Amino acid sequence: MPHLEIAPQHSPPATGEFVGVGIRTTDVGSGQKHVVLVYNRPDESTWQLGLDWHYRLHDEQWDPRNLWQTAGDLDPTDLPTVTAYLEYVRRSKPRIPYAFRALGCRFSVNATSGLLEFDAKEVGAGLTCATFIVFVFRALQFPLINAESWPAEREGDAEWREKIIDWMRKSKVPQAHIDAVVLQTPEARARPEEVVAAFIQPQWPKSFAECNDVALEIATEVDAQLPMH
Amino acid sequence: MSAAQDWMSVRLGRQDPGFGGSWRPLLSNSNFTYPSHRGGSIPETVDASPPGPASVTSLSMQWLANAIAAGPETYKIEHLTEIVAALDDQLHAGHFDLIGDVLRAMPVDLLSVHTLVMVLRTTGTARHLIPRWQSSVAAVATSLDKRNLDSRRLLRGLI
Repeated sequence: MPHLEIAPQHSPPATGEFVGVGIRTTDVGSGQKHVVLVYNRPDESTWQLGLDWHYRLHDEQWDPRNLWQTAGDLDPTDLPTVTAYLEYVRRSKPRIPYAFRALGCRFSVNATSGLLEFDAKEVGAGLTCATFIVFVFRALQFPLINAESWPAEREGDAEWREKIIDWMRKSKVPQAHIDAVVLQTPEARARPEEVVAAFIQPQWPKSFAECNDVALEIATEVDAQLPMH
Repeated sequence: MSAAQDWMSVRLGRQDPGFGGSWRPLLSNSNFTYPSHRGGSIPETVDASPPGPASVTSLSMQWLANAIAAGPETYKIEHLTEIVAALDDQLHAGHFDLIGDVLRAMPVDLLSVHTLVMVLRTTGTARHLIPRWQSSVAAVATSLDKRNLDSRRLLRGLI
């Protein structure tokens, strides 16, 4: 498998069309990882787009604390298509709830503003940083993962949800949303490193079996960047 | 008359296109709309009047005008973004017949591979609702093959 590149020694190409993925540990104590899409804008600057938190879709200049790798199944001809879509998402700034259940959610266009909006099928539905990436590529008819192959309720999933809900409470996410998230039946969790594992491999969509070992390697690589090492 | 309007006239059999010649560049602010209809055939007329208030019953054709003006070899990211915005808007409004008409009427050989792929990837979410969507995919595939491009690879997930 292609190893992740470490910035700034090996930063994403600053010129030309580029679409990749970036990942880093954002909470050292819990090992929480965050995944973003990395892309070059037409002005040849490198940016990253990701769902940081509840209603926080964040587009910012490339953060060299991320490890990164290029998309495994996109050809040069695909890059403008994906870049254009990311530009549209970035410009639209859709308000995306953070939640564990994405089934039925979709992007739609506001007929008045012409901007992209996120339609959550029901209260308590939404995306994570990882499912945001899956969602964007699915909208372009590039299925990244075979979601049906992902096992539900693995060890650590329930604890992870508890942690996120605790963070929601502490960051004053509206109680109605928290209550709805708690009541929702969660989907099988695709972890950030697993989405990266799918993203960097050829021949999408990838199954869990094809991603699991690669994801473990990625997690090890990412953890190795922490100051404690 | 803009190049895109020329093309519309050609498709409607009113003018010899002279495709061997070059397309005139379009004015960047040219605007015209594809009139709304629910039938299964290409509209007889093109409304070239200045745009009125935003309407969900008219499909902005600016993206197509820009794409034709750019030609089959070039593209601009902002024009590809226009395609997503224009077509997503119509998908959301449920104008599937209209989108199907536009897809079938697209001059595929005059458009860049990026434009063609963007159009199909944007509309692919409603492939089962757009009349003869797969026929449009087949037309695009034929055009890509004629350019010695790997249509199966470029259109993966769509065919």
